[in-house]
Amino acid sequence: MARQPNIGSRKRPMRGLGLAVIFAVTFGVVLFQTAPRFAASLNPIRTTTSDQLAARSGSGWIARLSGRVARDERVSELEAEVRDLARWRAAAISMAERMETYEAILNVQGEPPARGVTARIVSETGGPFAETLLANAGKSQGVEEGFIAVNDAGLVGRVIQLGERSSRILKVSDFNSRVPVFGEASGIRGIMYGGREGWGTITDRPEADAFLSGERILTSGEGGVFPRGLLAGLAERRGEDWRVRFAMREGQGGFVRLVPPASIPRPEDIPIIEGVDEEEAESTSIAQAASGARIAGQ
Amino acid sequence: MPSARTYAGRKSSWQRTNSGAQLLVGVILIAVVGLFGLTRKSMFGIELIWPYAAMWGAVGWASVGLSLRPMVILVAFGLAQDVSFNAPLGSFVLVNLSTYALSAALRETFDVDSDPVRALFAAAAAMGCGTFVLWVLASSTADQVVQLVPLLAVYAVTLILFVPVAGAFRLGDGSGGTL
Repeated sequence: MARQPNIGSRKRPMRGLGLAVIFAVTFGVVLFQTAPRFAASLNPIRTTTSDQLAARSGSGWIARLSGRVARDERVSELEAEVRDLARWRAAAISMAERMETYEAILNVQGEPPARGVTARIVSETGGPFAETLLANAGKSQGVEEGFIAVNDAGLVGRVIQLGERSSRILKVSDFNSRVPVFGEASGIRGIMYGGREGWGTITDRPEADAFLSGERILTSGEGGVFPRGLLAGLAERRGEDWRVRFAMREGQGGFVRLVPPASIPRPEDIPIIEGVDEEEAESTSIAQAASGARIAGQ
Repeated sequence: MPSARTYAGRKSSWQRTNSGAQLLVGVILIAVVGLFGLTRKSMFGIELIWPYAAMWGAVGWASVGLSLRPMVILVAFGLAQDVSFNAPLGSFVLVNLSTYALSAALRETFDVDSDPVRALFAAAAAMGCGTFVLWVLASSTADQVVQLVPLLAVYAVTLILFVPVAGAFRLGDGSGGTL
Protein backbone atom coordinates (compact mmCIF):
# COMPACT_ATOMS: atom_id res chain seq x y z
CA MET A 1 0.00 0.00 0.00
CA ALA A 2 2.87 2.33 0.81
CA ARG A 3 4.54 3.92 -2.13
CA GLN A 4 7.54 6.11 -2.86
CA PRO A 5 7.08 9.71 -1.73
CA ASN A 6 6.09 12.02 -4.52
CA ILE A 7 9.26 13.59 -5.91
CA GLY A 8 7.29 16.59 -7.07
CA SER A 9 6.37 17.41 -3.50
CA ARG A 10 10.04 17.90 -2.59
CA LYS A 11 10.23 20.62 -5.18
CA ARG A 12 7.44 22.53 -3.51
CA PRO A 13 8.57 23.11 0.07
CA MET A 14 7.22 26.64 -0.16
CA ARG A 15 3.63 25.41 -0.43
CA GLY A 16 3.95 23.35 2.72
CA LEU A 17 5.55 26.32 4.42
CA GLY A 18 2.72 28.54 3.11
CA LEU A 19 0.13 26.17 4.56
CA ALA A 20 1.96 26.15 7.89
CA VAL A 21 2.09 29.95 7.92
CA ILE A 22 -1.66 30.20 7.14
CA PHE A 23 -2.33 27.68 9.91
CA ALA A 24 -0.26 29.66 12.40
CA VAL A 25 -1.82 33.00 11.45
CA THR A 26 -5.37 31.59 11.55
CA PHE A 27 -4.75 29.91 14.89
CA GLY A 28 -3.42 33.22 16.17
CA VAL A 29 -6.59 34.98 14.94
CA VAL A 30 -8.77 32.41 16.75
CA LEU A 31 -6.73 32.77 19.96
CA PHE A 32 -6.90 36.56 19.59
CA GLN A 33 -10.69 36.33 19.78
CA THR A 34 -10.73 34.51 23.09
CA ALA A 35 -10.41 37.95 24.69
CA PRO A 36 -13.91 39.53 24.46
CA ARG A 37 -12.46 43.02 23.90
CA PHE A 38 -10.46 41.89 20.87
CA ALA A 39 -13.36 39.77 19.62
CA ALA A 40 -15.54 42.89 19.68
CA SER A 41 -13.00 44.71 17.51
CA LEU A 42 -13.73 42.19 14.73
CA ASN A 43 -17.46 42.84 14.86
CA PRO A 44 -17.34 45.47 12.06
CA ILE A 45 -15.95 42.79 9.69
CA ARG A 46 -18.77 40.46 10.62
CA THR A 47 -21.51 43.04 10.34
CA THR A 48 -20.24 44.33 6.98
CA THR A 49 -20.24 40.78 5.61
CA SER A 50 -23.68 40.15 7.09
CA ASP A 51 -24.93 43.32 5.41
CA GLN A 52 -23.65 42.09 2.07
CA LEU A 53 -25.24 38.70 2.65
CA ALA A 54 -28.54 40.28 3.56
CA ALA A 55 -28.44 42.60 0.53
CA ARG A 56 -27.52 39.92 -2.00
CA SER A 57 -29.69 37.08 -0.80
CA GLY A 58 -32.16 35.86 -3.36
CA SER A 59 -30.72 37.78 -6.31
CA GLY A 60 -29.96 36.56 -9.83
CA TRP A 61 -31.66 33.65 -11.55
CA ILE A 62 -33.18 32.43 -8.30
CA ALA A 63 -34.89 35.82 -8.01
CA ARG A 64 -36.22 35.55 -11.58
CA LEU A 65 -37.54 32.07 -11.05
CA SER A 66 -39.20 33.00 -7.79
CA GLY A 67 -40.79 36.11 -9.32
CA ARG A 68 -38.69 38.44 -7.23
CA VAL A 69 -37.73 40.55 -10.27
CA ALA A 70 -41.39 41.22 -11.01
CA ARG A 71 -41.92 42.14 -7.40
CA ASP A 72 -38.94 44.50 -7.52
CA GLU A 73 -40.46 46.28 -10.53
CA ARG A 74 -43.69 46.60 -8.63
CA VAL A 75 -41.72 48.01 -5.71
CA SER A 76 -40.27 50.68 -8.02
CA GLU A 77 -43.79 51.71 -9.09
CA LEU A 78 -44.86 51.84 -5.50
CA GLU A 79 -41.84 53.94 -4.60
CA ALA A 80 -42.96 56.53 -7.13
CA GLU A 81 -46.35 56.49 -5.50
CA VAL A 82 -44.73 56.86 -2.12
CA ARG A 83 -42.94 60.00 -3.28
CA ASP A 84 -46.32 61.38 -4.30
CA LEU A 85 -47.76 60.51 -0.94
CA ALA A 86 -44.84 62.11 0.87
CA ARG A 87 -46.45 65.50 0.36
CA TRP A 88 -49.56 64.26 2.10
CA ARG A 89 -47.46 62.80 4.85
CA ALA A 90 -45.91 66.19 5.54
CA ALA A 91 -49.38 67.62 5.93
CA ALA A 92 -50.41 64.72 8.15
CA ILE A 93 -47.35 65.15 10.38
CA SER A 94 -48.19 68.79 10.80
CA MET A 95 -51.74 67.90 11.79
CA ALA A 96 -50.55 65.13 14.10
CA GLU A 97 -48.26 67.56 15.90
CA ARG A 98 -51.17 69.89 16.34
CA MET A 99 -53.27 66.98 17.63
CA GLU A 100 -50.53 66.00 20.11
CA THR A 101 -50.48 69.54 21.43
CA TYR A 102 -54.26 69.47 21.91
CA GLU A 103 -54.07 66.05 23.59
CA ALA A 104 -51.35 67.27 25.93
CA ILE A 105 -53.50 70.26 26.87
CA LEU A 106 -56.46 67.95 27.54
CA ASN A 107 -54.24 65.25 29.17
CA VAL A 108 -55.64 62.55 26.85
CA GLN A 109 -54.25 59.02 27.43
CA GLY A 110 -54.34 57.55 23.92
CA GLU A 111 -53.11 54.24 22.53
CA PRO A 112 -49.30 53.98 22.34
CA PRO A 113 -47.87 53.87 18.80
CA ALA A 114 -46.92 50.43 17.50
CA ARG A 115 -43.16 49.99 17.24
CA GLY A 116 -41.03 47.34 15.66
CA VAL A 117 -39.78 46.03 12.33
CA THR A 118 -40.64 42.86 10.44
CA ALA A 119 -37.58 41.27 8.87
CA ARG A 120 -36.92 38.28 6.65
CA ILE A 121 -34.64 35.54 7.96
CA VAL A 122 -31.65 35.47 5.62
CA SER A 123 -29.61 32.82 7.35
CA GLU A 124 -30.47 30.30 10.03
CA THR A 125 -27.64 28.01 10.89
CA GLY A 126 -27.49 25.82 13.95
CA GLY A 127 -24.08 24.22 13.92
CA PRO A 128 -21.75 23.66 16.83
CA PHE A 129 -21.30 27.34 17.58
CA ALA A 130 -23.93 29.84 18.75
CA GLU A 131 -27.52 29.22 17.63
CA THR A 132 -28.24 32.43 15.80
CA LEU A 133 -30.12 33.69 12.81
CA LEU A 134 -29.55 36.63 10.55
CA ALA A 135 -32.40 39.01 9.67
CA ASN A 136 -32.34 41.63 6.91
CA ALA A 137 -33.11 44.66 9.05
CA GLY A 138 -30.54 46.70 10.91
CA LYS A 139 -29.70 50.19 12.11
CA SER A 140 -31.15 51.75 8.95
CA GLN A 141 -34.54 50.26 9.77
CA GLY A 142 -34.43 51.48 13.37
CA VAL A 143 -33.39 48.20 14.97
CA GLU A 144 -31.22 48.47 18.06
CA GLU A 145 -29.16 45.99 20.02
CA GLY A 146 -31.34 44.21 22.56
CA PHE A 147 -34.50 44.26 20.44
CA ILE A 148 -36.71 41.20 20.96
CA ALA A 149 -37.38 38.84 18.05
CA VAL A 150 -40.73 37.05 17.85
CA ASN A 151 -42.39 35.05 15.12
CA ASP A 152 -46.04 34.09 14.64
CA ALA A 153 -45.70 31.28 17.18
CA GLY A 154 -43.76 32.94 19.97
CA LEU A 155 -40.45 34.21 21.28
CA VAL A 156 -37.43 33.66 19.03
CA GLY A 157 -34.58 35.55 20.73
CA ARG A 158 -32.94 38.94 20.95
CA VAL A 159 -30.64 41.03 18.79
CA ILE A 160 -26.99 40.68 19.85
CA GLN A 161 -25.17 42.14 16.85
CA LEU A 162 -26.16 44.91 14.51
CA GLY A 163 -25.17 45.99 11.01
CA GLU A 164 -26.59 48.74 8.84
CA ARG A 165 -29.05 46.38 7.11
CA SER A 166 -28.74 43.20 9.12
CA SER A 167 -29.07 41.99 12.67
CA ARG A 168 -27.83 38.82 14.34
CA ILE A 169 -30.37 37.26 16.71
CA LEU A 170 -29.34 34.92 19.52
CA LYS A 171 -32.08 32.31 19.67
CA VAL A 172 -33.61 31.28 22.98
CA SER A 173 -32.56 27.74 22.09
CA ASP A 174 -28.87 28.68 22.46
CA PHE A 175 -27.04 27.42 25.54
CA ASN A 176 -25.96 30.94 26.49
CA SER A 177 -29.48 32.36 26.31
CA ARG A 178 -31.20 33.04 29.65
CA VAL A 179 -34.88 34.01 29.78
CA PRO A 180 -36.87 34.65 32.98
CA VAL A 181 -40.16 32.75 32.59
CA PHE A 182 -43.22 31.64 34.52
CA GLY A 183 -45.93 29.03 34.08
CA GLU A 184 -49.17 30.56 32.84
CA ALA A 185 -51.40 28.35 35.03
CA SER A 186 -49.12 27.48 37.94
CA GLY A 187 -47.41 30.87 38.24
CA ILE A 188 -44.11 29.13 39.07
CA ARG A 189 -41.12 31.19 38.01
CA GLY A 190 -37.72 30.14 36.71
CA ILE A 191 -34.90 30.82 34.27
CA MET A 192 -35.05 29.09 30.90
CA TYR A 193 -31.93 28.29 28.89
CA GLY A 194 -31.48 26.46 25.62
CA GLY A 195 -29.22 23.56 24.92
CA ARG A 196 -29.05 20.02 23.78
CA GLU A 197 -31.72 18.25 21.77
CA GLY A 198 -33.40 21.53 20.88
CA TRP A 199 -35.31 21.75 24.17
CA GLY A 200 -35.17 24.45 26.78
CA THR A 201 -34.48 23.70 30.43
CA ILE A 202 -35.92 25.59 33.38
CA THR A 203 -33.63 26.17 36.32
CA ASP A 204 -33.30 28.49 39.35
CA ARG A 205 -36.89 28.05 40.50
CA PRO A 206 -37.47 30.10 43.65
CA GLU A 207 -40.68 28.18 44.43
CA ALA A 208 -40.61 24.52 45.45
CA ASP A 209 -43.81 23.66 43.54
CA ALA A 210 -43.79 22.05 40.11
CA PHE A 211 -45.10 23.30 36.79
CA LEU A 212 -48.16 21.72 35.22
CA SER A 213 -47.26 19.42 32.38
CA GLY A 214 -48.34 20.97 29.06
CA GLU A 215 -48.91 24.46 30.45
CA ARG A 216 -47.72 27.47 28.51
CA ILE A 217 -44.42 29.01 29.58
CA LEU A 218 -44.38 32.79 29.24
CA THR A 219 -41.71 35.41 29.76
CA SER A 220 -42.00 36.97 33.21
CA GLY A 221 -40.43 40.30 32.31
CA GLU A 222 -38.05 40.12 35.28
CA GLY A 223 -34.73 41.78 34.59
CA GLY A 224 -36.31 44.09 32.04
CA VAL A 225 -34.80 42.40 28.97
CA PHE A 226 -37.89 40.58 27.71
CA PRO A 227 -41.40 42.01 28.02
CA ARG A 228 -43.84 40.05 30.16
CA GLY A 229 -46.25 37.60 28.56
CA LEU A 230 -44.44 36.41 25.40
CA LEU A 231 -45.01 32.72 24.69
CA ALA A 232 -41.74 30.77 25.03
CA GLY A 233 -43.13 27.23 24.79
CA LEU A 234 -44.87 24.38 26.58
CA ALA A 235 -43.68 22.76 29.80
CA GLU A 236 -42.87 19.08 29.85
CA ARG A 237 -41.36 16.94 32.58
CA ARG A 238 -38.35 14.83 31.65
CA GLY A 239 -36.98 12.93 34.60
CA GLU A 240 -36.21 15.40 37.34
CA ASP A 241 -36.00 18.36 34.98
CA TRP A 242 -38.67 20.63 33.58
CA ARG A 243 -38.09 21.12 29.88
CA VAL A 244 -39.67 23.55 27.41
CA ARG A 245 -40.78 22.67 23.88
CA PHE A 246 -40.00 25.91 22.05
CA ALA A 247 -43.04 27.58 20.52
CA MET A 248 -40.94 29.32 17.85
CA ARG A 249 -40.40 26.00 16.08
CA GLU A 250 -44.08 26.04 15.07
CA GLY A 251 -43.57 29.39 13.31
CA GLN A 252 -44.07 29.58 9.55
CA GLY A 253 -42.97 31.99 6.87
CA GLY A 254 -39.33 32.78 7.61
CA PHE A 255 -40.01 36.20 9.09
CA VAL A 256 -39.40 37.67 12.53
CA ARG A 257 -40.71 40.81 14.15
CA LEU A 258 -38.11 42.86 15.98
CA VAL A 259 -39.61 44.90 18.80
CA PRO A 260 -38.03 47.11 21.46
CA PRO A 261 -37.32 45.47 24.81
CA ALA A 262 -39.38 46.16 27.89
CA SER A 263 -38.49 49.51 29.44
CA ILE A 264 -40.17 50.09 32.75
CA PRO A 265 -39.58 53.72 33.75
CA ARG A 266 -37.59 54.37 36.91
CA PRO A 267 -39.09 56.78 39.47
CA GLU A 268 -36.37 59.35 38.71
CA ASP A 269 -37.33 59.28 35.00
CA ILE A 270 -40.90 60.39 35.70
CA PRO A 271 -41.09 64.20 35.47
CA ILE A 272 -42.19 66.12 38.53
CA ILE A 273 -45.28 68.15 37.83
CA GLU A 274 -45.32 71.36 39.80
CA GLY A 275 -48.39 73.35 40.64
CA VAL A 276 -50.72 70.37 41.11
CA ASP A 277 -51.91 68.82 44.32
CA GLU A 278 -50.41 65.56 45.62
CA GLU A 279 -53.33 63.32 44.61
CA GLU A 280 -53.35 64.57 41.01
CA ALA A 281 -49.56 64.17 40.70
CA GLU A 282 -49.80 60.58 41.90
CA SER A 283 -52.51 59.68 39.40
CA THR A 284 -50.46 61.26 36.56
CA SER A 285 -47.37 59.24 37.53
CA ILE A 286 -49.35 55.99 37.57
CA ALA A 287 -50.84 56.79 34.15
CA GLN A 288 -47.37 57.51 32.71
CA ALA A 289 -45.93 54.30 34.16
CA ALA A 290 -48.82 52.33 32.69
CA SER A 291 -48.25 54.05 29.33
CA GLY A 292 -44.54 53.11 29.45
CA ALA A 293 -45.38 49.48 30.17
CA ARG A 294 -47.88 49.43 27.28
CA ILE A 295 -45.23 50.80 24.89
CA ALA A 296 -42.78 48.12 26.07
CA GLY A 297 -45.38 45.48 25.48
CA GLN A 298 -45.83 46.43 21.82
CA MET B 1 -15.18 7.72 -7.13
CA PRO B 2 -14.50 8.17 -10.83
CA SER B 3 -11.36 6.64 -12.26
CA ALA B 4 -8.68 9.00 -13.50
CA ARG B 5 -8.81 7.83 -17.10
CA THR B 6 -11.32 6.19 -19.33
CA TYR B 7 -10.94 2.44 -19.96
CA ALA B 8 -9.62 3.05 -23.44
CA GLY B 9 -6.77 5.17 -22.11
CA ARG B 10 -8.14 8.28 -23.74
CA LYS B 11 -8.69 11.40 -21.68
CA SER B 12 -12.27 12.38 -20.93
CA SER B 13 -13.57 15.86 -21.68
CA TRP B 14 -13.26 16.71 -17.98
CA GLN B 15 -9.59 15.70 -17.98
CA ARG B 16 -8.95 17.85 -21.02
CA THR B 17 -10.55 20.85 -19.34
CA ASN B 18 -8.35 23.65 -18.06
CA SER B 19 -7.58 23.20 -14.34
CA GLY B 20 -8.78 26.75 -13.62
CA ALA B 21 -12.17 25.88 -15.10
CA GLN B 22 -12.25 22.66 -13.09
CA LEU B 23 -11.55 24.65 -9.97
CA LEU B 24 -14.30 27.11 -10.86
CA VAL B 25 -16.85 24.30 -11.23
CA GLY B 26 -16.01 23.08 -7.73
CA VAL B 27 -16.21 26.60 -6.32
CA ILE B 28 -19.64 27.15 -7.88
CA LEU B 29 -20.88 23.80 -6.56
CA ILE B 30 -19.72 24.60 -3.03
CA ALA B 31 -21.16 28.12 -3.19
CA VAL B 32 -24.56 26.93 -4.43
CA VAL B 33 -24.83 24.16 -1.83
CA GLY B 34 -23.64 26.55 0.87
CA LEU B 35 -26.09 29.30 -0.08
CA PHE B 36 -29.04 26.91 -0.15
CA GLY B 37 -27.97 25.67 3.25
CA LEU B 38 -28.13 29.12 4.83
CA THR B 39 -31.71 28.57 5.93
CA ARG B 40 -33.09 25.44 7.53
CA LYS B 41 -34.72 22.96 5.18
CA SER B 42 -37.23 20.34 6.13
CA MET B 43 -39.02 17.59 4.24
CA PHE B 44 -42.19 15.92 5.53
CA GLY B 45 -41.60 17.66 8.86
CA ILE B 46 -38.08 16.27 9.22
CA GLU B 47 -35.26 18.79 9.30
CA LEU B 48 -32.64 18.07 6.65
CA ILE B 49 -29.00 17.79 7.61
CA TRP B 50 -26.94 20.03 5.37
CA PRO B 51 -23.34 19.09 4.43
CA TYR B 52 -20.23 21.21 4.93
CA ALA B 53 -19.66 21.52 1.19
CA ALA B 54 -16.26 23.19 1.56
CA MET B 55 -14.93 19.85 2.86
CA TRP B 56 -15.62 18.34 -0.57
CA GLY B 57 -13.23 20.87 -2.06
CA ALA B 58 -10.68 20.29 0.68
CA VAL B 59 -10.61 16.54 0.00
CA GLY B 60 -11.06 16.64 -3.78
CA TRP B 61 -8.56 19.39 -4.55
CA ALA B 62 -5.89 17.72 -2.41
CA SER B 63 -5.54 14.96 -5.03
CA VAL B 64 -2.86 17.01 -6.79
CA GLY B 65 -0.98 17.83 -3.61
CA LEU B 66 -0.69 21.17 -1.90
CA SER B 67 -1.47 24.10 -4.15
CA LEU B 68 -1.91 27.80 -3.59
CA ARG B 69 -5.22 28.49 -5.35
CA PRO B 70 -7.26 25.82 -3.54
CA MET B 71 -5.76 27.00 -0.25
CA VAL B 72 -6.85 30.59 -0.90
CA ILE B 73 -10.34 29.42 -1.91
CA LEU B 74 -10.65 27.26 1.20
CA VAL B 75 -9.60 30.22 3.36
CA ALA B 76 -12.28 32.37 1.69
CA PHE B 77 -14.96 29.71 2.16
CA GLY B 78 -13.85 29.23 5.75
CA LEU B 79 -14.30 32.93 6.50
CA ALA B 80 -17.74 32.91 4.89
CA GLN B 81 -18.69 29.91 7.04
CA ASP B 82 -17.39 31.71 10.15
CA VAL B 83 -19.70 34.63 9.45
CA SER B 84 -22.76 32.52 8.67
CA PHE B 85 -22.26 30.22 11.69
CA ASN B 86 -21.28 33.11 13.96
CA ALA B 87 -18.09 31.25 14.81
CA PRO B 88 -14.85 32.98 15.87
CA LEU B 89 -13.17 34.15 12.66
CA GLY B 90 -10.66 31.58 11.49
CA SER B 91 -12.38 28.52 12.99
CA PHE B 92 -13.70 27.10 9.74
CA VAL B 93 -10.50 28.16 7.97
CA LEU B 94 -8.63 25.83 10.31
CA VAL B 95 -11.21 23.10 9.72
CA ASN B 96 -10.94 23.36 5.92
CA LEU B 97 -7.15 23.60 5.88
CA SER B 98 -6.65 20.70 8.27
CA THR B 99 -8.92 18.55 6.08
CA TYR B 100 -7.00 19.69 3.02
CA ALA B 101 -3.58 19.09 4.59
CA LEU B 102 -4.44 15.61 5.87
CA SER B 103 -6.02 14.61 2.58
CA ALA B 104 -2.91 15.74 0.67
CA ALA B 105 -0.64 13.95 3.13
CA LEU B 106 -2.62 10.70 2.81
CA ARG B 107 -2.47 10.85 -0.98
CA GLU B 108 1.28 11.45 -0.95
CA THR B 109 1.93 8.65 1.52
CA PHE B 110 -0.41 5.97 0.23
CA ASP B 111 -1.53 4.90 -3.21
CA VAL B 112 -5.07 6.14 -2.71
CA ASP B 113 -6.32 6.94 -6.20
CA SER B 114 -5.96 3.44 -7.68
CA ASP B 115 -8.57 1.91 -5.38
CA PRO B 116 -12.02 3.52 -4.84
CA VAL B 117 -12.42 1.91 -1.42
CA ARG B 118 -9.08 3.26 -0.27
CA ALA B 119 -10.00 6.68 -1.69
CA LEU B 120 -13.23 6.60 0.30
CA PHE B 121 -11.40 5.69 3.50
CA ALA B 122 -8.89 8.50 2.89
CA ALA B 123 -11.75 10.98 2.37
CA ALA B 124 -13.46 9.69 5.53
CA ALA B 125 -10.26 10.11 7.53
CA ALA B 126 -9.61 13.64 6.25
CA MET B 127 -13.20 14.78 6.83
CA GLY B 128 -13.15 13.09 10.24
CA CYS B 129 -10.09 15.12 11.12
CA GLY B 130 -11.84 18.33 10.03
CA THR B 131 -14.94 17.45 12.06
CA PHE B 132 -12.80 16.72 15.11
CA VAL B 133 -11.03 20.08 14.78
CA LEU B 134 -14.45 21.73 14.49
CA TRP B 135 -15.70 19.97 17.62
CA VAL B 136 -12.58 20.97 19.60
CA LEU B 137 -12.82 24.60 18.48
CA ALA B 138 -16.56 24.81 19.16
CA SER B 139 -16.24 23.21 22.59
CA SER B 140 -13.37 25.47 23.58
CA THR B 141 -15.06 28.68 22.46
CA ALA B 142 -18.55 27.84 23.74
CA ASP B 143 -19.27 27.42 27.45
CA GLN B 144 -20.17 23.76 27.06
CA VAL B 145 -18.94 20.54 25.52
CA VAL B 146 -20.67 20.61 22.15
CA GLN B 147 -22.92 17.66 21.40
CA LEU B 148 -21.11 15.28 19.07
CA VAL B 149 -24.08 13.47 17.48
CA PRO B 150 -25.31 16.37 15.26
CA LEU B 151 -21.73 16.95 14.09
CA LEU B 152 -21.34 13.28 13.24
CA ALA B 153 -24.62 13.41 11.31
CA VAL B 154 -23.32 16.34 9.25
CA TYR B 155 -20.02 14.49 8.78
CA ALA B 156 -21.83 11.38 7.51
CA VAL B 157 -23.99 13.40 5.10
CA THR B 158 -20.93 15.30 3.81
CA LEU B 159 -19.07 12.04 3.22
CA ILE B 160 -21.99 10.23 1.57
CA LEU B 161 -22.73 13.14 -0.77
CA PHE B 162 -19.04 13.43 -1.63
CA VAL B 163 -19.17 10.09 -3.46
CA PRO B 164 -21.39 11.33 -6.34
CA VAL B 165 -19.82 14.81 -6.56
CA ALA B 166 -16.17 13.82 -6.15
CA GLY B 167 -15.57 13.99 -9.90
CA ALA B 168 -16.31 17.71 -9.90
CA PHE B 169 -13.39 18.28 -7.52
CA ARG B 170 -10.75 16.36 -9.44
CA LEU B 171 -8.10 18.72 -10.79
CA GLY B 172 -5.69 18.37 -13.69
CA ASP B 173 -5.76 15.30 -15.90
CA GLY B 174 -6.16 12.92 -13.00
CA SER B 175 -2.56 11.73 -13.07
CA GLY B 176 -1.53 13.65 -9.99
CA GLY B 177 -0.22 16.68 -11.86
CA THR B 178 -0.08 20.01 -10.15
CA LEU B 179 -2.21 23.03 -10.71
